[in-house]
Amino acid sequence: MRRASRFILSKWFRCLSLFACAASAASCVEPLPVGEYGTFRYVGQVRGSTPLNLLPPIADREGNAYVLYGDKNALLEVQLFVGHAEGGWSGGCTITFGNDVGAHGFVGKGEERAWYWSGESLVKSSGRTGGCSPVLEFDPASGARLNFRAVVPWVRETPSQTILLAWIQSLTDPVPFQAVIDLEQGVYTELQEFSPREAENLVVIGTGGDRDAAEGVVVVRYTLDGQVRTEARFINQKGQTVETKALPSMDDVPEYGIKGFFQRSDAGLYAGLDSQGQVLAFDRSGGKRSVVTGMTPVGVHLFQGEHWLVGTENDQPVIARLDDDGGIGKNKVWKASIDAAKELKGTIDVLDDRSLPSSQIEWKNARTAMGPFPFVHAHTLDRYADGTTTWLVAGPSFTASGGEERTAIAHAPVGVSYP
Amino acid sequence: MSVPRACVGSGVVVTLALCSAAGFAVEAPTKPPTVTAPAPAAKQDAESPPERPPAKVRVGGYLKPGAGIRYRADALPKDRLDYGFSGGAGLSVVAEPFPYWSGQLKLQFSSEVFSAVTGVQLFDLGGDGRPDGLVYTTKAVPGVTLREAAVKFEPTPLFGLRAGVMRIPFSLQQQSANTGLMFPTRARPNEIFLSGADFGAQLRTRIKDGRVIASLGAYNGDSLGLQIENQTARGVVLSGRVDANPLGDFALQGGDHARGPFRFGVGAGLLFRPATLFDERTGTEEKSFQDLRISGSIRVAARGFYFAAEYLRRQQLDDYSGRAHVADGAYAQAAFFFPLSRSFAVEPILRAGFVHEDQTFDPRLTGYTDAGINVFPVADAERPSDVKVTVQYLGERRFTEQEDAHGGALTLQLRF
Repeated sequence: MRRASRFILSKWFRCLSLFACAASAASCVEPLPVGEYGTFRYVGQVRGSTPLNLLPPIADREGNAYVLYGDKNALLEVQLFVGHAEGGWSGGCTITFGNDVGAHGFVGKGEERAWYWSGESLVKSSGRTGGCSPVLEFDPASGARLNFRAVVPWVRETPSQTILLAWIQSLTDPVPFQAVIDLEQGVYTELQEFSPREAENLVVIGTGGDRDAAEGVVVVRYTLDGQVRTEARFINQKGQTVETKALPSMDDVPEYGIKGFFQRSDAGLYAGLDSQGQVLAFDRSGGKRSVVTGMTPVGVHLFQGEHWLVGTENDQPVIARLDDDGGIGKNKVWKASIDAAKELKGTIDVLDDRSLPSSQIEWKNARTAMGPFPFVHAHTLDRYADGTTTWLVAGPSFTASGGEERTAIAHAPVGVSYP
Repeated sequence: MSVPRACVGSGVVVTLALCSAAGFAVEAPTKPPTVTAPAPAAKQDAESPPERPPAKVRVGGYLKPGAGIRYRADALPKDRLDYGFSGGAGLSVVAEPFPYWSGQLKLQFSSEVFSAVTGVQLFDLGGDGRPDGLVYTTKAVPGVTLREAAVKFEPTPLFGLRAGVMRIPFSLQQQSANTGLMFPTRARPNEIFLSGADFGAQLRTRIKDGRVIASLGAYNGDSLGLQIENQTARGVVLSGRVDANPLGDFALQGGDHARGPFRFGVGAGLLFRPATLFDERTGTEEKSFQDLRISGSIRVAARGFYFAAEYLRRQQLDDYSGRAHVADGAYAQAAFFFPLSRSFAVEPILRAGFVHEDQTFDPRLTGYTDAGINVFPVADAERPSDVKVTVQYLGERRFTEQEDAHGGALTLQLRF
């Protein structure tokens, strides 16, 4: 002990302590300040004028960016842009199928790849090449075209396998089948037919899930023996239905009537905004629909395990926290959104790296490309880094031959906070 | 517009300056150099070449055959249970042709070093003559990797200079030879933060018989790895490490086979790489990039018991992506070496560690647990680990993905 205490008082110990202090001081990382943007990168040009039918971008583990142009209800076309982590953009993927519904959204990401669900298709995109391909377009057993009726929005990627949960249905199937989709092998496993098989007029209201909780949910409405039922079906990662819970009537909500996906909080509560502007919140004990007052709601977001209802009021972005019972808190002006909008005033520098070598250009009158304000969108925002998400900014618009209006968009990381 | 910022301190310089200011005395070497300088050849015939003592060359190496088994319950049936034999070998040549000058060459042979493409085939699903994709087959092929090829100039233990290919002495395990490890392989956290050898040069000092060991070096950085692909990095890696062992030095191996007195030591390493990245395809797209890694370790040894724990952290930033790649990890390992007879000893070994990667955007936590026993059938050799049999359990727990893997391995090591 004496030798140890002598050492603690020695020059060596002081020397090592200072070394450790210097090293720890060197290891701090500061996120982007709230509302400030990183490098704007020119994505491309898309059809229409602001607000454009775009989804909040996502990034895979390597930092490749995915920008999806499309909309579930208003548009039956999609276009995917892939921004490579090392620079350059590629893509142009337009895979979608079905005439009833457009892009549902991104459903997962992994190592150098991401998946989106559009219409009846599930599509895989490569961050390395920018290429894309449909997943299980046809049933390997029967050769029939498969319709992805419901997709749980997470991908579980492990050394063993890469999977997601979905309901698939071919034209001849009366009801969909619940399955685990092996995204590496392009096959389905753990196939279970929807029960009751006699269900009629089956529509999927919305889907949600939490990868870390290894849980998914599909909210479905169907008719059985003349009676309309609305249920939340909880699914585990093995593709088994572990709980079915009756929900309040949602007869006024059409198929895929949830904006974005249901978000699951750390408390286990799912919440989503429906097309009627009401918040549906539920867990395994039941659920309720709440009318939103005091704002025009746009969507339910998840940030650090908590639900936030975002929208507008008096031409300002507003936000309200949802409590663990689904109760809607008091509206607040969303300062982060206002700050991000202010940053776009004047001129912004945009890196045009669509083809390399890149060049620097300037955009005047830049504005948010989607939603009424930055961050205000039906879909929750991607976690790009600590306190940072990515957003799309609109630049010059022009009229192409044939009278079609097109708008340039740029992608950038931006600091964000929820009040 | 702004980017994430990191405050990068010059810890190495600070530390060395402080150490210098602390006034460590410069001592004469306690032992004469092993190779003495040649005597002046004044009386030699002017036309005959001067005589030189024969150069000392030592050739050594190791063989490490083994067998292993791994079980992943959630994998496809094909991958669920994997087992087979493995093997590796190394060759070492050490030459001391002149006083104070030496060279070391270490080669590592492995049966599966490279993955070679052995066949490529286009396929056309629609029969329309346009290929819809390609399939290729790969095969693991044997190969040789250069582990060390360095020239050393060490006139005194207080000052040594090495240049060539070597491991960066950033962590405890990076300083150990492949045959000097407690387990057959290095701890996974160490391999994730730094792996393999690098080109560079290093200054090293060893004070008071290893009670303080410090090094400072510059390297290419090939062993660091980049988080972004298709990039060429231009920038020198600066690295420093200080170890203080106030009660005496430790052998650079994971164990106390000499069964020495009580010792403990602390150490810290810092590695900093300010670099510029360029796109490989075009040679343009200049980006500023910083890679900072730190490590800290403690060691305790007494009468055959050995314990070491190490913490490692990495953060990579650039002025382009706006995303910091941050990871940290740690492990602790312990062993107790005890002879059962004069020539036979055993050593129970235990190791646990974790790696927490991609912390700023998609955290992934993985834990590792290894346990086993080393058996030394020739324990009375100068180095008991010259012949060593290891039986071990290997466990991997992916906390984020909720997946486990279990395995076992039997490894024989013969060093000569």
